[in-house]
Amino acid sequence: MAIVEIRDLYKEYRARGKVVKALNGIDLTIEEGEFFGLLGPNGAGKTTLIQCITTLLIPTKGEISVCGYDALREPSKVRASIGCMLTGERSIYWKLTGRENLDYFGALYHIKKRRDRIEELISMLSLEDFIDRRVETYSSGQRMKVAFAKTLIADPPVIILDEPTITLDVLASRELRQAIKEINRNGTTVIYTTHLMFEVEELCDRVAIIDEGVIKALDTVEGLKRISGDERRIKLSLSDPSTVAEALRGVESVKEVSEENGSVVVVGGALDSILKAVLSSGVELKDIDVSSPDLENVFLKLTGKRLEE
Amino acid sequence: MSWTGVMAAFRVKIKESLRYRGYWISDLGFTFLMALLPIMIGRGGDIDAFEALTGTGNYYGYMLLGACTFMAIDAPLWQMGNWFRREQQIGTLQSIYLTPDGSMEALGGLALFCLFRSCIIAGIPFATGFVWFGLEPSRGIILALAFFIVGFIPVCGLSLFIGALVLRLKETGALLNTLQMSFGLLMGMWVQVSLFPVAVRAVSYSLPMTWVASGVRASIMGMPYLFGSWESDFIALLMHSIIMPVLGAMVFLYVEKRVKMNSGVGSF
Ligand SMILES: Nc1ncnc2c1ncn2[C@@H]1O[C@H](COP(=O)(O)OP(=O)(O)OP(=O)(O)O)[C@@H](O)[C@H]1O
Ligand SMILES: [Mg+2]
Repeated sequence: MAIVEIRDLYKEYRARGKVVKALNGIDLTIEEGEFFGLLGPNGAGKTTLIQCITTLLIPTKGEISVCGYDALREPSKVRASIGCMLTGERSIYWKLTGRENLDYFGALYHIKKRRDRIEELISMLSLEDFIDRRVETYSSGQRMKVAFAKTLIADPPVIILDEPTITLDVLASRELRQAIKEINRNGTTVIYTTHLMFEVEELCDRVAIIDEGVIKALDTVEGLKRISGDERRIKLSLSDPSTVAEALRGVESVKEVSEENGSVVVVGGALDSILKAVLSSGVELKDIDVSSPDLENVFLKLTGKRLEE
Repeated sequence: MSWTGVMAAFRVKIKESLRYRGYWISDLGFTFLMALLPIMIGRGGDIDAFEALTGTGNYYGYMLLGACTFMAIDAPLWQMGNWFRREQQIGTLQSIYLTPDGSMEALGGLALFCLFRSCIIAGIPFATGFVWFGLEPSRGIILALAFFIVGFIPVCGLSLFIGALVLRLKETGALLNTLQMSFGLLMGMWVQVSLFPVAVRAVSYSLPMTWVASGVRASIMGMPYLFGSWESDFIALLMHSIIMPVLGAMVFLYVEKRVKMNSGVGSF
């Protein structure tokens, strides 16, 4: 069943007479229980899309519904259905303790048994050690944890996270991803924006690649990888690349052979026949690098841009 | 909209105010200063002239009451504007707007906090001054309180205009300061409103603070009411408390929608 539906969504910003077209006709259906990724570079429109879904922005054109509620006509019901983390650490009060923050937002989300819910979150996210200290004394990771707990306070059917791991170190970010996965396993729909490829691969059931306010592709991670061609790439460093390149062009099912300063890149073909061809050529093989198809290539192919350096 | 939310917002404001060192002390000090300054500078001219002008011979009482009422009734306006700006800058305004009706509940809590704060920062200097200068209430303190409490409603309504202004213009520090001084003058803090030219007086009458300040002074010190009797002044204030909140809410909701149609309440 669809839990978030977006039809023909456009959003323009006007600043000093200039118009920025942030979203240009987004159509999207997110299923209940899904872990949905929004992958896009800086300025793609990810945050704008989230702000439209959460009713912080009114779109220039188009429709959004969440849990069957229309974002324009029933905005408070839409907001009540979503837990959202947008600004991360800055989304909570630093002068209050973590617990006071959770209590305040719990009240604003009209949670019935606030105390119990807060205790539940404290033990779920291991906040015991610092929850009663003021947020200003926290580490970055601890602040993110409490901001995340705030997102979950109402136990909403949908949670939306905007690049939640961007300020975290490797360990803290892994911990947060684990927690999010757990929430999703228990049935909560998750919408997750990132520009990190590996996060998408690790987490998402389906991914939309977004760039310049347009969805360029939408599929499972596996499905997306197929776009770049399902082929393995082998990079061979050789003392005499051109001889080997010539030999490899004759090998069965090899799709593409190219020479790059001192090495040969082979796309497709069976591994053993490629190696046989190299060895029998008598040319010295200095190094070999095998890479499977990844989203970076897909992204490059779809947008002409790189996501990560 | 829920009462739980409003009360939670109120509690948070109290906690925050206690955690900013010197918050209460500086506010109290400022009120004392506002009251003492004109008193220390002294009354120019003689008491008879002053009495002829204001209808009371009690110069100290006039200034003290004026300053306290001004601080108490005027502060909510700027509290509201500053609240938006601060929440915007620290980043929590978006969090509030993500909750179902959080923006309304937070404003409700803020209004309660302002009422509480006003009672403290004006009540203490007022009581102190009362004893110090040996003032005697010539008429009901109760009536003055009634003016003050009822007056709070339209002031909160008016503060929605300020909130809308901040949402729309963002950097409003200088504008708000100018407004604050003008409002102080217009509500008759230093000069009796009845002495203003007609056009200015019309503006004064359209501010609820004017009616509160005048009502409080008149009922305690026996000065003339703006419209002659306490009943007619009170009715004027009641009119304000119906019109201002409705008008304020309409303007605020309109501006809020326009802002959401462009870059949103969170951007600064
Ligand atoms: N308030 C605004 N006024 C004008 N333009 C804006 C505003 N907010 C965003 N934009 C523009 O809209 C486009 C989309 O921005 P958005 O923040 O949605 O991108 P994003 O995908 O979240 O990027 P990032 O990965 O950097 O967070 C960008 O070109 C941005 O400059
Ligand atoms: Mg963003």
